[in-house]
Amino acid sequence: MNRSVVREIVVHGVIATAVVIGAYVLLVEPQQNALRRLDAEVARLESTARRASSDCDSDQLATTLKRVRGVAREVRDRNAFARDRAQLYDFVSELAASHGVEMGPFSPQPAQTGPDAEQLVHLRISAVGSYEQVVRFVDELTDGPGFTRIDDVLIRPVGEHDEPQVRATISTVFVAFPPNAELAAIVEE
Amino acid sequence: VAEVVSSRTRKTTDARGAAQLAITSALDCDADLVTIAMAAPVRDRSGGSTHVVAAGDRDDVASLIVETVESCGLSVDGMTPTDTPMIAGLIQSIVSDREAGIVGRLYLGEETSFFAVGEAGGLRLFRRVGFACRQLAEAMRRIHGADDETFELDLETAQSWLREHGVPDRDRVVDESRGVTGMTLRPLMQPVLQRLVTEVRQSIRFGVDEEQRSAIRIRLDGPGAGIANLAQLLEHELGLEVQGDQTVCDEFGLCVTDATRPRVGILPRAATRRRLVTTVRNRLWIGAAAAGLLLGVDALMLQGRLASVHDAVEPLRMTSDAGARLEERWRTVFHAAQTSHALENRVAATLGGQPPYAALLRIVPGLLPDSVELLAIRMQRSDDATTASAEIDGLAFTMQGRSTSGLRELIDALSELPVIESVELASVHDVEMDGGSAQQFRLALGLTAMPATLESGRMAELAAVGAGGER
Repeated sequence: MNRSVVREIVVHGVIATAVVIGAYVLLVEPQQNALRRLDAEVARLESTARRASSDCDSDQLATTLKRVRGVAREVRDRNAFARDRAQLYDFVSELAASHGVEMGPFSPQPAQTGPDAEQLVHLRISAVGSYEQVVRFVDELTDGPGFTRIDDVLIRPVGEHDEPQVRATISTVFVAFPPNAELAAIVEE
Repeated sequence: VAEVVSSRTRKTTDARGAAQLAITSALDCDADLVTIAMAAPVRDRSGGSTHVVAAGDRDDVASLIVETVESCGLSVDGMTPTDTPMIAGLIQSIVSDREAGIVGRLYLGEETSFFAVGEAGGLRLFRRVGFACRQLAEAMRRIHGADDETFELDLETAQSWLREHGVPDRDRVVDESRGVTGMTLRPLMQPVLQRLVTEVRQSIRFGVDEEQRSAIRIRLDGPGAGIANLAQLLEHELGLEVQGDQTVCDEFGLCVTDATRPRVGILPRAATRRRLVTTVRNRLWIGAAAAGLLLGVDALMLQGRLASVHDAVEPLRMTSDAGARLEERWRTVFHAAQTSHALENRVAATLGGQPPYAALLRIVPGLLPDSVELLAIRMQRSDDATTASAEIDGLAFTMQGRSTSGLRELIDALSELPVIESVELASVHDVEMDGGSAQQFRLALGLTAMPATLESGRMAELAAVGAGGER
């Protein structure tokens, strides 16, 4: 066959092939790629949705959240008590008065900082009253609004009264823990 | 120019080569200048050989024809040599007649004639014969009339006389007005007819064995087969059986229809190449268009599928986003729960275990026997967070009227409290009191400390002590 004929046929063949390949590259391949990407995204989304539905129990989440919020609120509120020294003294004084216990002078000491940055306020309390009054006072003091640690309680009778009196010497520590931003955020939600 | 080649060979390529050689020789030109088209390869039943009919022409002549046609703005679809249909039909009639013995077919055409002999479907002889119907009519045109007057017929009149009277008898009146009879025409026709007879006879002598010659039955074909008395004349002259055929063609001229036209084409090489290029190019582009169409359809289908997947993805994405938010929320809450737990542990570690102060203070006085008097109670927490200690100072009276076993009763009663792990008599010594004596004692208690929690300390104390006794 003549060489020019072969050349012409080959040229046309190359052009036709190029046109077909171009059409494939322009029309089909992008859509195939997009479809592949979408399929992968669908698989990922399905996996995420499936994992979320299987792993995340909304009831359990609500229960946990409620508990965490409760803890965070309580810590926040109790911390506030120990940080305000005047409020602390007022509380102790009012508590003693409410139970008919006569308070001796406070012997406050400078606040200390604990190993985990907690603030420790040591307070030695001397209270005089009937045994029942002192017991109720100690009871209420233990269950006070702040973090209260009673290190030592000494009760002994005092004086000669018609009504027997006892003196309670109580060494207490009021603790304020450092604020936690994460828990604060949970409480603020 | 057309040439017919009968080649006895099994392979078509060999037959083609033989045909090319024969045609090149006939046309007296180089092989490169010859265009050949194969006509009808036919397998011989008896010998198994292949007969090839080939038509050829000079390439430059064919190219000239094509150029002429194309210069008129037309395109050449095909070129078929005018003799080829007749030749092909003649040979086909011989090779298809396999039952007959040795037969001859004499095609008498308007311009050219052929003679072929075959036997049992095989071609034995094929020759071009120097006879033409037009030649016979031309010979009849210059006539010497009855009055010795010479006149010239036009060709159409001569052809109509030939068609109407054939080879007339001597006394047959052909044109009474001009005194033309068979006697007038037969001498004019004689040279042409004689040449026909001679060539047929020589052909038979050349191509057929002597013992078979007398058995040849000749049938006339073509326009000349309808010339009256021609078959009888040939039969008489050749001494063989000759059969005319009035049904072959009513008119002189080419008796070719589409049905009888053989597929023989002679195109110059350049035209063939152009046609090949055009065909290949057209098919290439048709293929490309078809591929493009398929790609388009594929693209449309992909687009539809993409749209459907897009539609499915949106709700799925919302669900997934909600799931992701829930997961994120879970992580946040879980981490916060861990932080909370750590904080609780820190609270517990910092506050440490607390002895149940109030509960013990309430219970201990109730446990005192009448003979025991409480002097002091001291409770201390320890740093190990699980234990605490207490000291109870008191007096156990031994005077008359008071039990001396009071101290033991107190120790026993304290030992039964679940929060008290141990009770030891740390010290005891006798003291003199007004009106009697007593034992001053100190009890050392080991206590179980209550772990510090964020819950109500009082409730925890009560639960730990296991008794609600108050003085």
